[in-house]
Amino acid sequence: MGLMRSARSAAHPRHARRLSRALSRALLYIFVFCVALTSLVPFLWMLDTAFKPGRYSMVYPPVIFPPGMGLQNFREVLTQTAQKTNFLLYFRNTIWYSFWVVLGQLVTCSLAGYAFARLEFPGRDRIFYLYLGTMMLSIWVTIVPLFIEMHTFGWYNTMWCMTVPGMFGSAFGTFMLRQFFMTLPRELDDAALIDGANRLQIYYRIVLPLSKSALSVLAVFTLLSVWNDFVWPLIMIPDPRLWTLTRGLQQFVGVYYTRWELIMAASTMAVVPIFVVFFLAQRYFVEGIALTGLAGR
Amino acid sequence: MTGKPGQRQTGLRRTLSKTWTCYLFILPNMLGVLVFLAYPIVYSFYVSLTRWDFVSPPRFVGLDNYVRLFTGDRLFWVSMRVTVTYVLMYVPAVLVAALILALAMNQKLRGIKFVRTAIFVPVVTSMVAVAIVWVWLLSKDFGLINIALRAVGLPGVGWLTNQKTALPAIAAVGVWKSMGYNAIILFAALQSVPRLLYEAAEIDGANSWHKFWNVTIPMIAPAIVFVTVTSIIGAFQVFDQAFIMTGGGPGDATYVYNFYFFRQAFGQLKMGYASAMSYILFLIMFASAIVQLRLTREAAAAAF
Repeated sequence: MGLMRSARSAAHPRHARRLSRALSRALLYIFVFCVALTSLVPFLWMLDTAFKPGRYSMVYPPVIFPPGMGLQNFREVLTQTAQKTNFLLYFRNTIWYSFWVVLGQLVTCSLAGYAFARLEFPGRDRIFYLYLGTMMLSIWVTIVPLFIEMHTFGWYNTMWCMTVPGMFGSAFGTFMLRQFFMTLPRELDDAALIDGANRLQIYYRIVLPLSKSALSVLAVFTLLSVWNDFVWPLIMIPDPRLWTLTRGLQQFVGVYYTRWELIMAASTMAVVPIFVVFFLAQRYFVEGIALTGLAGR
Repeated sequence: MTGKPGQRQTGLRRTLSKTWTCYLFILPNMLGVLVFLAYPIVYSFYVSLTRWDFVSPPRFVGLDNYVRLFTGDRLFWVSMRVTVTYVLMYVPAVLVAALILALAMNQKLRGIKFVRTAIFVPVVTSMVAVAIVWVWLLSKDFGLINIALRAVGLPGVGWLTNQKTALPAIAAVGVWKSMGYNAIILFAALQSVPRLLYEAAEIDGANSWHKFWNVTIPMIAPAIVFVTVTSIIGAFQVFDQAFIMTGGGPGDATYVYNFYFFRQAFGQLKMGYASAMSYILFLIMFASAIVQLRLTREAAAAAF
């Protein structure tokens, strides 16, 4: 076999091989940058439309940088349309719900993840498998009973249904943190126990401070899922005063369906905060995805 | 022998008296999982056996809802056909796109970080915003896609208003949004393939095509299975695009399963009928997950 290889390289002059390698590399570059461009162009077009005066959004051929670009569409979305769609309110609601759900998930999932990873008690593994089982449930399977349940609790169409279920009900977060906590050396716990610390103290004095990156992954993923969720607010909160950005945005399109410059300005406002979080915390996104991928093994 | 159960009980009691605080750690999360996940899935099955309009109390009807769905509901079958078509369009496309991207990312190119960031932007954006932006991009007269087509001399297409193109269009949006996510998973798998295997294959005279088929693919097979199955499960739940971009139309071209479910459950408040629908979806996803477990095990066994 080694012979075959040397025969082949002898057949190709060295410079021809280098050329073909450079060519395939160039093709690869062109390909990946086309893909990158495909991912970004829709958002650039959104920004362009959002900053252009409305009369330029529907012209052919298109003008990318017409005179009079500015924030006028944003101003109109925030002020003149506020009668029907109050984006500042949707912002406040979304931030408010996200805050509580992220906080709740961090506390409840880290407590449970700690117990599953480092404490020993009867039934631990069985309970954990039950958790894993619920991970594959999708919202579409539980939404009807939850709709009934929210009515029973009196939470339907209140801020409670936007916060409490999210704060407590996650198997994914528990699973992820458990996997991370298991990688921390056990000697730390033992040393602290000898020093007279109890389990709760070990949890918040030792385990939590060492787990900032894993907690960040969970925080970022939870934030993303609350911020981007559409189905739950669509079904659970008919009251416009409680709407989130996604729900408000969807309504906005229905009301101003010919004013694309306004719709794009509103969309920009809904997505830019997430872009900012993403660019600041990019590492955690990639880490988190790799972790979810591992969950499937 | 007779004393044993009693002994075991006192033993358990003694352990519990030492370990009961452990349960306090899992209690809040456990309550959430029970109340908002475990109970609903059980309750859902009960509801699916009733007729319930949410005004008068539920009436037990046995399997009647399922029978009516399978035998007498044209729209159920329409929505199922549309959804399966969507799955068949979306899953292969997203798999191939993600695999090519992952392979490209695995070549140590300069500037690959930028590409990774770029393909991730659609992933972190809400489907609502993505769908709305794409309605604008795909619009017939002034959408960017048709502008580009006209620039090269092709006629514009009413992508979302044409029966033939509407479903492929929303599938393309789905692929566009999630290929970055899947590419990262496959990329992580690619990175864990030992260099040694490639070197061994090279010594055996393998060219890059051989190396791809005989080393790369078997080694990342579990990740491919994972991406395929999660994509199938995700695709069966498609809703946002159809709800926002097409409203199920034109005609019933994008009348996907969950769109029909949504109308039955929250438009007409047919709690029992809708629960039966969601249970059928649950079984489909459950079967997919089982298939995944099987295939992953086989793939893992075959790789070593």
